[in-house]
Amino acid sequence: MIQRFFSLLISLLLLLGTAARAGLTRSYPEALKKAGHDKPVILFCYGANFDKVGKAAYDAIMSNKNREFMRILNKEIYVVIPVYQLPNEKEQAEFKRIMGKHRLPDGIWSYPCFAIVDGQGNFRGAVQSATQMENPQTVQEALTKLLSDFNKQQKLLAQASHASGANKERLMREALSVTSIKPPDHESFDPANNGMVQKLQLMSIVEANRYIRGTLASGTFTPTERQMIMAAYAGHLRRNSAPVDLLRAVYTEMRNIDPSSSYGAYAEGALEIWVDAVEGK
Amino acid sequence: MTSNLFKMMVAVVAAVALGFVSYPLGEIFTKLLRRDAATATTQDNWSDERDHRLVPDNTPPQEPITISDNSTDDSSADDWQKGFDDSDVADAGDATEPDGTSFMFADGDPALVGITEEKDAPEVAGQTNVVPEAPSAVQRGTMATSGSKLAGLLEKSKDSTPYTNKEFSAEAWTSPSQIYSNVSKRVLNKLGEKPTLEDVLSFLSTPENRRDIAIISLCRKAGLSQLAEVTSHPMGANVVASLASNLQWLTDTLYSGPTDSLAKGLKYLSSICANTGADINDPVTRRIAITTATEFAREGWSEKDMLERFSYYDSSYREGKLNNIFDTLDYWETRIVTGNNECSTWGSPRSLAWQRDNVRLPVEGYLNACTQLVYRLRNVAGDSVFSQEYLAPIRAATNDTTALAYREIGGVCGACSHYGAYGALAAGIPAMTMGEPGHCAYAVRVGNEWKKSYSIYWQHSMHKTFWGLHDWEFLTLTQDLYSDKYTTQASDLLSDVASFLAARRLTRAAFDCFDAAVQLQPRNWPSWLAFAGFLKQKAPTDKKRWVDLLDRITDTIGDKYHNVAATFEARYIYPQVLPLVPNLSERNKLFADFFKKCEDFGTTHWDINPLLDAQFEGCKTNEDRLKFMRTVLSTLISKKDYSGAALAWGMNAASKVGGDNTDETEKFQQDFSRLLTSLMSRMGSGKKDAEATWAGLGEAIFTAGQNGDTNTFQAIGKIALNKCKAKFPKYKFKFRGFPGKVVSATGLITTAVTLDEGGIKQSCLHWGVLQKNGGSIPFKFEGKNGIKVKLDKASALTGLVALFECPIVKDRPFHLEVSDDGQNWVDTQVDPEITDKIMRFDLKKSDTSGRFVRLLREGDKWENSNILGFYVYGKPQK
Repeated sequence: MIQRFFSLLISLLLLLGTAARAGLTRSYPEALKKAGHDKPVILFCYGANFDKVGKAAYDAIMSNKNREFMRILNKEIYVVIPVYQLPNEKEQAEFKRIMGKHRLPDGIWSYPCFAIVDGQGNFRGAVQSATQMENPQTVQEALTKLLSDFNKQQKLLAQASHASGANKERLMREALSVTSIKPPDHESFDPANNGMVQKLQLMSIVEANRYIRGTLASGTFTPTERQMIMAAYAGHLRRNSAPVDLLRAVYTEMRNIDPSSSYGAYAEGALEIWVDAVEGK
Repeated sequence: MTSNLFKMMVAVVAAVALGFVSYPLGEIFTKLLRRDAATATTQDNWSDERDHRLVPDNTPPQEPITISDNSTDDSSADDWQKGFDDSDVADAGDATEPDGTSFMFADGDPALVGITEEKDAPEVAGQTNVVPEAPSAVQRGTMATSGSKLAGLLEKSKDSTPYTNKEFSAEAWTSPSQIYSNVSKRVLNKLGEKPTLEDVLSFLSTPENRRDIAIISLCRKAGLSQLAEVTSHPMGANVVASLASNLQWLTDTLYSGPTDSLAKGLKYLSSICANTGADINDPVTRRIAITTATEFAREGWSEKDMLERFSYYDSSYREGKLNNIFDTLDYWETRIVTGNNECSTWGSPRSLAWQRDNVRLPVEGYLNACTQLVYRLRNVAGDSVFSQEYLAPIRAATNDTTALAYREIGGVCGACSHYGAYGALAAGIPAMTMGEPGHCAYAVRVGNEWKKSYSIYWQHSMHKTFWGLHDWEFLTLTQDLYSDKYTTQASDLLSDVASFLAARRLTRAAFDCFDAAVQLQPRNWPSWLAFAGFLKQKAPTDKKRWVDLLDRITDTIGDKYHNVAATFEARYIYPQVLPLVPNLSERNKLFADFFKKCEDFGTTHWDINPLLDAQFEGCKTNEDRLKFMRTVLSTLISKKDYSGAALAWGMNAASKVGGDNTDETEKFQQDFSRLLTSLMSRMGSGKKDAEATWAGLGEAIFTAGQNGDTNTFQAIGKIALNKCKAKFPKYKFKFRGFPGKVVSATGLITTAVTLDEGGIKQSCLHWGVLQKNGGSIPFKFEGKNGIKVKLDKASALTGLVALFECPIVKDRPFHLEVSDDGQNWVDTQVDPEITDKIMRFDLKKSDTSGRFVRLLREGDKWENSNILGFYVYGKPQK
């Protein structure tokens, strides 16, 4: 009874502690420390001395006018990082104070943005496209989804780490299917640069089918990677004048893996120009 | 002033509405509005301080001004190396006579042409056709000091209210020849009958006189008849009148870079005002409008693309979407931005807008932006980047947005470099792509310095130039020239006065002004050209003056820009001076003077071949050629920057020497070979010289390899082993050989890999690969390109052993082919035996013979490794 009481008390204290530790954090190393194994760290990076859009985004977000957004942000560990262009000494010192010895994570393509890293500093995802960063509402929507996806993937990865055999594989596949989050320690597969395209060149259509199906069944791939593998297969079929019906089936399968992704769009385009056009549709 | 211009604009709009103006503006304007709406993207909602002036709902539909358009299709986005092999085309410079005839350079003709004298110009005793003695050093020092005072004056006046004068109305500008005549008379009256340099400098000290000179220049550069065509339209006349009434506006237009096709530029500017409602009283809009109009006219691009480009930058600026760097760019810098290439692909408004909104980085970040693209020669579907299929399926989904399509699918060096450069350009930062041999890279202007990115080689061909000269050093020269703003403006003014005086037959004064212009600003490439053109016209055989010009180029511009000086001398001075100096020793001394001054590469590695070619061109007999080669090679071989390049040049030049008399040619080749061996033997091998010797021999053996010159390849290899023994490995390979001798040991080996600068310096190791203790040669297999060995003699072959640095991955088959002539190849049909890093082809049973052997592999895949030993066994045939 006493033991249960104490464990409840410790859990409560931990929860309170976590809540107290969330919110704006002064430095990146401190944020990483706070995040531990499971929590995400949000980095709000903006162009501080070169970009009017970045400045406007900073003002809009940090002015606290958007309370709902700040409520969401304050529940998480986040760091505000001003990115300077040709920084002077003072700006360099400011950046160093926030980042310590760390660099900004690879994967950030544009400022302003909200990047998510895990406690180990791995880049896991970002809200950074112009569409996502259009205004505080779109940012809020995208960031909420990204955080939810992050937590979902973390949970699946944690479960997978304790599982084994087919169950582990299933959990890993589910974790990788969270497309907006980059899984840590996952070695990406690229058919163009991993030799798959070259191997296919020497294969008959039947051999290629066997090879592709075998590869898909044996490996753990993200949906994008699966689509890329299907693209390699379809490209081989197309160049070897495979029947249009087969091409349609393969591109359709490729598209359906994730119709909203770039390779989903690629498959849709391929269906239009290489299947429908051939059939005179 | 502002209100007047505003009234003018209102009047024009009203006139359009009432049908008085003959510019139908409807369809294009409507299209523009639609396009504006399409390119006005996402991030608007962060700020309410937007300016919607360019999208007026109540503006009546208008039609564009019709302007003849000579633009051609934009080059393909896949043409990554474009410009690299372009024959250099001289800039047409400020080259049009008032009557419209070209007086300096015809299009694409690098020859120097003089200045056409105006028919009504009187001959003045002591002035006309008088070529003065070249000034002494002291006199030139005084000239520079006086010129500097003018530059100082211009700088001081930068903060005062710009000088304006509405002397000539729009109506008056419908007859530019009358204005030209009136202003010319006024200027000549003020200067006096026999003006001296002091008179000219004193004249230029007042803004009203500078404005008169600028009006004269405007007329001369645009051409009177072309200008009259522009001003025959009311909007054209209004725009020209506005420009001409403001000294600052004139200066910005005329002295911020080349002014080729200026009349067309003015038409384009009128078109911007008519079609977009742009207010050129706004300084940034004016800067965008003038630079876009002048650059698109100069490049020969279409009006439609020009209007789109203007709207992109103007609206992006207004909406606060450009990098802050753009806010303070000068005109010449803005021309690099608004005049970026690839109007229908990377430079299309759609692609630029996408990069502007999705690749927002600090300026230095664009140097790494190329890495946002995955490098894929073949896309994930296996389609080559050079095929239509590469992007085809994604085009619709990306709305044909070039940058987005490549980011989704990947690309090779061309796409990666364009992505980086156009990311910066989209944000309003000066940048450009550049070709390198077999590669594409790019440069971004960071601070006041151009930084290279994705570059693997020293040789660059810039894709945006002011004077049609693509070498890197011309970009740094351009940067330095226009950064020194007021000195350059003063020099340009003097140069313009000189051209005017020359046209008025005041030859003596013209010479003095040209001389002062280049003395004041030695970086002023266009002024040097104008000066040399004038000298060629007035004193083509004046040896003293030409030698003086040669010395001045070397001493002044060559002080920092060795490549620029060499280019000028090789192209424009040697053709004039060499016929005047028949004595070979005297000529060699002139040549040697250059290398005395320019002892190393200077600011950047450059190609010395054109300079040496031009010097060699003057040698008419084999005896002279050999003497010249002895002199030049023995001088350059001791200079570490030049030694390798000079040896390579010598071998190439000697290989081209031929003639009807075969014996004589053969003797020359033998003599040259002896000279070469003797020179190389003298190269230093001590610690201090070893690196330079190694690099020099590397460059030379690489050239011998490229030329297929087995004897020289072998000779250099042996000298390298002798001089730089420590550079060669001492492998103790263990493998099973084949019967016969290693016939490849006396041959020549080449690789399909495009070597970078560092790789070329290591080329002596290629020779080592054929020797017992091994060496190193990088390899790649691409179609019919792989590793090729030319044997000293045709041989009956028994086998081949290739020793790889890394274990051989057996994912694709190898093929060994042989040939008698290096053209027609036969597959040996023998499969190799591969064990770890060793590959053996047993040819004993295949009855194989030939002089050439090549190793190929199916498919293509980047392999970052080397071959350490390559041994062909057999018996040489008699």
